[in-house]
Amino acid sequence: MILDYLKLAIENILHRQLRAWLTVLGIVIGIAAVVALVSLGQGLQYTVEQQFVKIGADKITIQAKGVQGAPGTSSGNTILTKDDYDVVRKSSGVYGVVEVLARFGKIEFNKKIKYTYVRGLPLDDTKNIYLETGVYDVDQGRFLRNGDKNKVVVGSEFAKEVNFGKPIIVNEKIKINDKEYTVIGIFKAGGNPGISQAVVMTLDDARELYSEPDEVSMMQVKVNDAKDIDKTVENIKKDLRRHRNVKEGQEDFTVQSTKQFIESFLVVFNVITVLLVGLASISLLVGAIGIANTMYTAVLERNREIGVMKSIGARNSQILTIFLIESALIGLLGGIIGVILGAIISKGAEIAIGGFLGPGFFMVFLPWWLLVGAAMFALIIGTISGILPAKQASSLNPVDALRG
Amino acid sequence: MTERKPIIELKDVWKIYQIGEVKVEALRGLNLKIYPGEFVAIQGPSGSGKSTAMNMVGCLDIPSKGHVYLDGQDISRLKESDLAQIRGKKIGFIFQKFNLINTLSAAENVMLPLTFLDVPESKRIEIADKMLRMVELDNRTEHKPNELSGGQQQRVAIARALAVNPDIILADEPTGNLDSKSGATVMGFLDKLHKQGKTIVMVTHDDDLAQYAERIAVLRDGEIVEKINHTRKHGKLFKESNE
Repeated sequence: MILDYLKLAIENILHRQLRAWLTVLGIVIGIAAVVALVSLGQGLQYTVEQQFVKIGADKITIQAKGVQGAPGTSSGNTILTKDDYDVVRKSSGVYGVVEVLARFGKIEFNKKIKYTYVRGLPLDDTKNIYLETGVYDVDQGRFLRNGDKNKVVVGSEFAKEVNFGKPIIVNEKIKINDKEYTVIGIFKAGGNPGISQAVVMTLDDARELYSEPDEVSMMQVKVNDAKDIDKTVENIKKDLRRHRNVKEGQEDFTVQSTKQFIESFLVVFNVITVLLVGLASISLLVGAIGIANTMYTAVLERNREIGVMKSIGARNSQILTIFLIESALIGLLGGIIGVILGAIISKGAEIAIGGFLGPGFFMVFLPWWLLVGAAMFALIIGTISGILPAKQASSLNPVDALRG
Repeated sequence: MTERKPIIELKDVWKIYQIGEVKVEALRGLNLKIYPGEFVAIQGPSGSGKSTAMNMVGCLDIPSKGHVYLDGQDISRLKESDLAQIRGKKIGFIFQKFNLINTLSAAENVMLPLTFLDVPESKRIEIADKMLRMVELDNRTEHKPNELSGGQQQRVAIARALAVNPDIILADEPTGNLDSKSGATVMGFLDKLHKQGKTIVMVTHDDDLAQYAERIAVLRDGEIVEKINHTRKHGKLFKESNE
């Protein structure tokens, strides 16, 4: 019999198409926003986690406090120096430390100027620590090696034609802060977004270019045993505090393991996701009120029809079911269209982000549970929104209802 | 000889509406017995309480005081859902404004009361076909109400009223919205149904229409002021006596 009521509900919706579509639209917007945000959020979370995983579970990053994101891009008041580097190197549990100097540079190529950051990496024994992460894998040409002078490797995105009117290829010459360098390699696409936009040179070249013999923008530590990483973090903190003469809790540097990075990222990320989904839910609430409003109007308009149905034997429960199915159907329809639209939006974002950071770097998540769940959620919203109007319809006195 | 039992009996029925601070007595101690197979007209001017009386007979409403018996069962204190079931099984309604569901075809309208009784679809289709054939609309089964004339719509309403094979047909001003030709056709159908043994209760303010009935209860101010009996002789009805 539910099928018969479903048919009745469809007939009613088709009979008032414009209003039905406007009501459906309210749910479409809410569901599309939720689906797009969740799938983008999940994708982003996965991508960032993968980046950290690539760096490795046995790595610790040390930066001066106030430096966020790419090292050298923010001007913190404090800096770390080679002395700090030596302290960290001698800390208990440390296998090796990579010192990195990173600064913004003016890049000139094909008579065009762009700004990006330049990273100086050491080529001593510690190079394996960063090379094993795969972040610096080269696609064309080769990576830096001992004895290289005035040679650079360029990020895949930065090398693209869109930046300089023609692509940077191996053996081209580029100017960094007016000094000429030869490009010997291009990094692999789809890797770390920081590296894909960067120019990398030897640490010696970077120190010379920026006249910074002492500063260390960032240190990457490999620990002896990944299991003891938290202990090693504490050792480094303790040693650096003592060396820099700062009290616990007032550190002017950060020491974070990959695990801690992931955890702190997830905390911030989850808060943002909850906030965004919360905002999207407001539009869903508005959509739900829209359904309730439409259903109340339908009850008012169809008073006589309800009276007729009652007079020919419809029980209250049957009238209630008819109206509930109708509002659930509006919700479901909005849900299905919203899911499709949300999937299109997030796929579009994936393609757009891929265009910037390299294809395959960012993948949105569209698991079946999200799609089916969102559509079912819309159905539930539709049903709940219809409860009061349907109750009103079913409790109408047949005599009053027949008067219209 | 055993006494005939009425199919419907209204016993000292009062219906009092509270409108603001004013009490309106729509029915004032109404007594009426309708026997199986009878054709009874409830006649009276507007405001006389005839529609309220029909609501009582049709189990659409319950009295403020008094009792309504249907097949000997007191329905005066039943809940709406129980009344709905009684209506669905025992009573077929024909309204002045036809009251078809506009979104449904003629056949679907006829099937609707059967849907509420959970009759399987194949059976519903069979009954709807039969009923629409009976009212000579078997060529209009898929038409929506707005594609039918007033007379045709009322015939669909008759088919719908008959779909559940009810004991009683209640007709509220069945020709009120029809031209005289269509009105005569509709009354012809009611007359035919009466001859087939159906109990028919018709509410009307029209003297001519009331003449189709065997008995007429004339209402004024919520009370029966006159009962007229007719006898059928040579196919015509003659006024016999006042009660």
